[in-house]
Amino acid sequence: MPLEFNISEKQATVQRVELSGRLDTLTAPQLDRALDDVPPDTRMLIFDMTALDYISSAGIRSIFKATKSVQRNGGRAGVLNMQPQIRKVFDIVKAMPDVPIFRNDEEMDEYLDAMQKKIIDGGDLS
Amino acid sequence: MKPTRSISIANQVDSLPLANALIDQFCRRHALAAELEQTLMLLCEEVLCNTISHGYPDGSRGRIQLELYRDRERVTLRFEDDGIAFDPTSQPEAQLGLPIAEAPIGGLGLAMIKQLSDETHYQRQGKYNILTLSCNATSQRDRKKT
Repeated sequence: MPLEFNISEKQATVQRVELSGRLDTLTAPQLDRALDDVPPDTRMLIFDMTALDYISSAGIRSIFKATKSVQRNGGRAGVLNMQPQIRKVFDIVKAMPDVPIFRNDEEMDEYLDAMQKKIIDGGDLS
Repeated sequence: MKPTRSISIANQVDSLPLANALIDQFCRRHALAAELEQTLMLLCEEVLCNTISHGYPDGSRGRIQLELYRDRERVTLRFEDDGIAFDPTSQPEAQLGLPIAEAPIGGLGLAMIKQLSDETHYQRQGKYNILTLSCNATSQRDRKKT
């Protein structure tokens, strides 16, 4: 099963990366190339893993790299909706302890609303 | 014990789908749980990638033999390659759980191999690395044979 992905702007400066299928050694380079084009002013990069069935360390490295890059530009990353087998892999390597994981769209939207508010109020999201 | 399934593949990442197909066949034949199949695929990918990326630094062609065994309690993966000597079971552990900015990009594969297998064994025999990884099958709920 190959990897399919779609990167779209959910709202201004929020990019949503929908992943489905397998993110592994063979498919991770395709995602790396696509993530290179994420705009540098991105404040939030969301990996939607609802339809992701398999991830190996190569896939986690892709997520790591993109997250590090968005953080360097002052943004942050989040993960939406992991299937249990994906969660297990993240847990095993204790990946991204400081990255929020949303169980559903509502949780994510609440977080984004709070983030937006902080920006308007001039505060920083902690 | 004779392997239930075996395959010899070239030391190229393009060979990974062949190994996955073998695991898929093996799991169907033995009616193994989807969770165990996922574990076997992960172990296989991590070991093969490691061998392919680091085992042949001069870029030479090599062969990797993969064998799968099943007994009542466990499933065993056996890898044999003719790359440089490398014992994945005795490497220092990568530091896990760091905030993303400090987290190292490497070492995740070896950590996964350690965490996902219930028993690991490595030996260098002549010019071959032989690595066996076993997973307990009893704790996993077997899927019904169809």
